[in-house]
Amino acid sequence: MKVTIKLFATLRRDRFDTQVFQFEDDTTIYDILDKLNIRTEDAAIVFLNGKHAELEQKLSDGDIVSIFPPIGGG
Amino acid sequence: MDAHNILDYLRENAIDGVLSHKIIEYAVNVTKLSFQEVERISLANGLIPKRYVRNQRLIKPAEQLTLLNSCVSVVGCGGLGGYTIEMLARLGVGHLICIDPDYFREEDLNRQRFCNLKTLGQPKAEVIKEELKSINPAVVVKAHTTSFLPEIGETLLEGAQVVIDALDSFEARTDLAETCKRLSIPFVHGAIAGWYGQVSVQDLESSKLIALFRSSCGKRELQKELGNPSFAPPFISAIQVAETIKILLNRSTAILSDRLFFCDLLTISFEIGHL
Repeated sequence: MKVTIKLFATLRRDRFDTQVFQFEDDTTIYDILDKLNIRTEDAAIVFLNGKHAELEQKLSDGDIVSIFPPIGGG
Repeated sequence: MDAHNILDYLRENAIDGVLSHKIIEYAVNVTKLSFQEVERISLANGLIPKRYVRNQRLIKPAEQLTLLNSCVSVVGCGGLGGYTIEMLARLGVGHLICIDPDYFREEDLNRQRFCNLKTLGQPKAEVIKEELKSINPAVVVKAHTTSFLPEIGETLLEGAQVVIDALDSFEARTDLAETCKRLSIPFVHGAIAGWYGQVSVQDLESSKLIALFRSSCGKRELQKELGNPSFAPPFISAIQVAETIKILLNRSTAILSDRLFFCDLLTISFEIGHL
C-alpha cells in the first residue's frame, strides 16, 4: 500500500517534507516512526487524513500521515 | 453635568455619533464615573468612543458594548500573553485577569511586549496592569502575581468567560485546561517554538486538548532547542485573540474548536487537523 508521510518543523531535518512510501499491510503509525527514526518523545501530534490518530493505528492504502513535534513555548 | 445628565453632555459633544477621548475624559473628571462607566453609557446609547471607530464594520456598536462587559483571563504574561493582553485592551474587552508569577528579565527583551529597560526586574502582571492605563483606561485589570494552580483556579479565573493559554509548559497547560473544563470556560490554546506555532480551542464539552497536553508532558519541547524569536508570539497571539473575540461575540464560524492550527513561518505553510 502507498502512504504519504508529511513531516513538520524540525522533524524535516535530515529527512524530508512530504514523501510517498510503499508499506506492507498492517503497518502502524508506530512502525513508521520507527522506520523514520523518529522517537515517540519527538512526535507530539499525529494526524491521519487530517484527524488525530493513536500510534497503534493501522494504515490503509492512500492514507496521509502528518507528524508534528511538541511545541510548548509561550 | 453630573451622573444623571451625562448622556446629554455626551450627545451634545459627539461629532457624527463619535466621542473623542478628551470629551470622555472630561465627563469622567466631572462625574467621577470611571472610563468604563462612561464608555458603557456612550455605547448603550449608540455613541462610539473614537478609539473604537476602526473596530467598526467588523464590530457593531452593540457588540462593542458586549466586549466592554466581557471578561477574559490571560494566563502567562510573557511572549504570547503580552501581545494578547494588549490586543484585547485595544479591542475594548473591558475586564482582563492577568496571571503570571514572574518578573521581566533581560532575556525577555527580544520578544515580550511590555519588557523594556525600565520594566526589567518588575512583576509582569503588575507592569501590564499599569501600562494598560495609558493604552485603554476603560479596561479594568486584575493582576495576579502568582502561578496558576488548580487549587486556586476557581478564585483566579472568577468571572472569566474565556481563558487564554499563554503558558510555557505542558504540565501547566494540563492543569489550566482541566480547570477550564471543570469551570465550563472556553479555553484558547497557543504555543510557540522558533519558527513554529500552534493554536486550538477547547469548547465546553471537549477533553481532546487535555489528552494532547497530558501525552506531551515530559516530551522534549522544541522551544528549549529553538528559543522564541520576536515574530512568533504576535502571530500566534493574533489568532488566539481572533478566536476569543468570535467566542465572546458568538460568531461560531471558523472557530478552531477541537481543531489544531499549526503554522511554519520558515516555509510560510500551515496545516489544520481535527484533534
